[in-house]
Amino acid sequence: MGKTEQKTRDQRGSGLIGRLSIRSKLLVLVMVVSSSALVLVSAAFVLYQQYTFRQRLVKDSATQARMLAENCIGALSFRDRKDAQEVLNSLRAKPDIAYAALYQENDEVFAAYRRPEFSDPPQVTPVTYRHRFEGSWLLVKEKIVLNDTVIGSVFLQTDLRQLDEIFWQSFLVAVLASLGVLLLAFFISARLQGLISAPITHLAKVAETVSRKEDYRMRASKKGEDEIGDLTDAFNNMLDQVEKRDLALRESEELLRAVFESTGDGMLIVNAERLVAGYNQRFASIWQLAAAPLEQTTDRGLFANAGLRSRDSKFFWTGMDELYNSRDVSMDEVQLEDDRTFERFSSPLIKNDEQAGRIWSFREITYRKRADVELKQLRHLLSNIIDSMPSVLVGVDTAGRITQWNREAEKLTGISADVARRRPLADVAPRWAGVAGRIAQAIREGKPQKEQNIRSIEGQVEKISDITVYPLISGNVETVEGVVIRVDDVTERVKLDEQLRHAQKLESVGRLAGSVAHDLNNLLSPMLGYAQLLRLELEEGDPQHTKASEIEKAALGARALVQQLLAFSRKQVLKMKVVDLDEVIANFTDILQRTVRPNIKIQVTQTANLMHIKADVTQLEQILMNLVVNAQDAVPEGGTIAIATANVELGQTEKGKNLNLAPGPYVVFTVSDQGTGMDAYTLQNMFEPFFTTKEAGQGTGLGLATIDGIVKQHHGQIDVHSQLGRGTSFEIFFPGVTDKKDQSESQPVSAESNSAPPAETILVVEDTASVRELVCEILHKQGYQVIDHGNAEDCMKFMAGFDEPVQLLLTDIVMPGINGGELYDRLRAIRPDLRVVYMSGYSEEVIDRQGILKPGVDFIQKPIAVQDLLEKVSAVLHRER
Amino acid sequence: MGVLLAVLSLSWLCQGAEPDLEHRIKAAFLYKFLFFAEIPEKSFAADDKTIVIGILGSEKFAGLLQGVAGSRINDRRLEIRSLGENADGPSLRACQVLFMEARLRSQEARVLQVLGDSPVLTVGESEGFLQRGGMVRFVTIKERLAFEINRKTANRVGIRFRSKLLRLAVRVIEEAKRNGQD
Repeated sequence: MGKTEQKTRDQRGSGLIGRLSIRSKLLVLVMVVSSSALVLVSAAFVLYQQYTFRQRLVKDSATQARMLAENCIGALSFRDRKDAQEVLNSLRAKPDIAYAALYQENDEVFAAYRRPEFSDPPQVTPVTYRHRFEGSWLLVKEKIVLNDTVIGSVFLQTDLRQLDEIFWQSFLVAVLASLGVLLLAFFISARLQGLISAPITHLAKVAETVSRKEDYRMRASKKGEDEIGDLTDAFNNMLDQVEKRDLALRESEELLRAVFESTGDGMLIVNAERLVAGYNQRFASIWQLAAAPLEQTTDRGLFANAGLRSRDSKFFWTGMDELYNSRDVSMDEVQLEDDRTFERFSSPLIKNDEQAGRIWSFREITYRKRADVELKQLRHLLSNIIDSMPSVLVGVDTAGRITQWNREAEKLTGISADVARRRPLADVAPRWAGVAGRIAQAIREGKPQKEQNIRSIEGQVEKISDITVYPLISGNVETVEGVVIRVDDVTERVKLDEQLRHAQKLESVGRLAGSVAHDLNNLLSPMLGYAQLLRLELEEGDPQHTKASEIEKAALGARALVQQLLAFSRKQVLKMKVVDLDEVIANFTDILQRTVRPNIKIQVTQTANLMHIKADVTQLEQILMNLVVNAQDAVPEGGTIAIATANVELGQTEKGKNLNLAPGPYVVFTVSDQGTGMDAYTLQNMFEPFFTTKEAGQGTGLGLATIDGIVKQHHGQIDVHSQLGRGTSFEIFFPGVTDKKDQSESQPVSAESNSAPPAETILVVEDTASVRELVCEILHKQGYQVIDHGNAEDCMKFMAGFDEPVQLLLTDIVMPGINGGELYDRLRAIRPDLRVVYMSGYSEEVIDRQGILKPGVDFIQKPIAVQDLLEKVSAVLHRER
Repeated sequence: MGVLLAVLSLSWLCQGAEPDLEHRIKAAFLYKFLFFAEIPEKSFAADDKTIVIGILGSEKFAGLLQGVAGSRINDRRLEIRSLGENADGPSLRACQVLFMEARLRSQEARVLQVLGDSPVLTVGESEGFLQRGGMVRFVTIKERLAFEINRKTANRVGIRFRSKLLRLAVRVIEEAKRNGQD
């Protein structure tokens, strides 16, 4: 095969064969291989055939020659030519032997044979070989040996043309066999190539379908366990993996999509060309956009088409171009036209380490902002509340460092919150070092700890504080994060408590005094009444008259004492009117001066334009009397007792004066002496009832208690200043009255103005017989018709059958059975014109609780004085309706 | 070799059929008969590694064979014995091949009788030699030396002739069966 031919075939191979299908390739391959093999095999076969035939020919010829030699050995030995010739002639049976000769030892021909067809035998003598091919002849020479001695030789010339014949025959056989085999190979390979090509074709088809349809669920079916089977497995395996990845990719995409859509943030993706790559539903709804972005929309275009605008468009786009070229993340706030506020985040979109755009997200923070504001307000409110608390509030963490320090704490310690915060409590406020144990306990037990009535001296004033340590328990974990220490200044409260206790004591004493006074009054009423009646009946100068007067005086004294009891218990009925205090003092000065010892001078200082006060004059006189008498005791050697009045405007500043009065105008009168003064104990207890510095029997101990009761009833207060050896001054404050007109001032009624004998009938109901009889006698003496009953039931029975006019009911209030008020109501049902005056030994207050004493209702306090009774009865009877 | 060449040249010369040449050819034939006849082992004395050609006749004829004396035939050394004219039985029987010249025809019967069944290849020249019990007889036909063979006699003593020799014989006397054919 020449080189050019080879080249051409190669070119054809890459072109033509390359385009052939695997089927054809396999066929070509099989045919080429089998034909090549056949050519080689045939050639080998032919050559081998030739070779073996030659060898056989040589061998045959040699054998022939040897046989000839053997057969001729006798003839040659005994020189029998005829026999030799006969032997040679037997070669006629072999047509291919052209010539044979028998040589003697001296190479002379002894006998020869020639086949007639071969006319021209070659020159063969002398022969020195055993066999040789020469032209178309095979020359064979065989020695004839007898007893190891060469006695001659045989020569054979064989025609080789039969060899050619055999060559062509075998060539033909080879060609025919090859053709047959090729044909067979063609058919077999045409059939069998399917075994190889079919799976590959199938594989190729599946691969093509998979890539076309992108359906990775398809699988190639395996057709055998060979390499194609392995390839199919590998391909299917690859499909498995691709499918798995495809599935994972799809899932991941779906997940991403779900995340993208499920987030509460509006998200927008813009690519590097500033074109909108996508956004989620939330984004569309925030900006009121169409559901899907248009193709080739820029970010500006998108926002321009949005249903809403940002409030500040310039701000919205500021720095946008730089952001698209940077890898920074950004965060700002954007406000929309509809007042919603959004937090705008952006982060770069990085693909393969290159900037591929930007992701924007919009998170609505409107409510958070609002909540922030509210929280801030709440925090402000809370801090205001905390700061406005009258208590010291200090927050301490578990390490003992201060976390909270309110204004009260600042005020108390003089340390500002900024300085105090985060410093150890022990350093900042050593004063509370004592509560360290409580703090530890509160943290340990998680329960509030309290320490009460801790006394300390602030400046020169004693302060009392309660310290409460509250554990700060965090949410649901129940861990103590620290404590809040509350320090309450309870000085005031403790003092109030003491005052309350005092008041309660007074009240109980007062109640006792009140009830005693009622009984005393019932006892005193006949004493006083009859003594007065007796005195009135006797002539002046009559010794009996003087006795009656003494009885009357003693009864009056007893009545005053009872009044005093009632006064200190604040149970007396005050006769309040607007008065000028200076005038009251002036009118009373003479009596005072006469009461005190002669070595004492009472000095009164008046104030011009002194405000009026609303007061019961008798009570004012009582106060003056008591104070002056006390002062007199303080100056045993004699001296001056000064009484002064003043207008005072009480403001906030007067607080330090131990006064507990509402700000406003007050009238103060001072009774002072330069006497012995009082010690602290006395100062503290002087208003206690039955507390006295006097010797037993010399004082009741009710003096100052009574004054205190009276003053309080007048809505005033007493302030006492005293120093041992320097004297004492009592300042008594009464609220000033700016309006001088006094509505409560009772109309002056004079008993004398009704001197004409009355003709009215008065119904007296009183369960205490002595009082009833006294009253009846007084009224009767005055000329009234009197009907009396011991109880309400008798009275009502009587009245039911009595037709004469009755003008007035004078009844006790508290009676067994039906009380005075009810009696009046019932009688009024049948006598609508009936008027009433109530009597009682109880105070107005007690009676008032029974619902009888309504404003305008007339009342007379027992013990009953004749004049009082008559005046009241007359006033009621003659009052215009 | 030289000896053989000499013998062959003699045989070649023999073609001329001169009386001296004739003897020479006969001597050569006598020698060659050893190769075409099988003499039984009993013919040989034990441990005797010689094969003996005995010549009853002239010394001259024996001398013609001296050229090949000592050559080895089938591992035996060839010995040529000139037995003279009156050889006794043991010396006759000690030979494997015994040649009797034609002029000793009178003794042929006695010799053959002495030999009896001894396996000795007897070669003669005289007419009726085969009938008297000889085995091979030289004859001259058309000036060419040939031989006759009495196979019957030879078979009796156990001597076998090769077919090649038998084919070359001008006459072969076979066993009784075959006599009729002759």
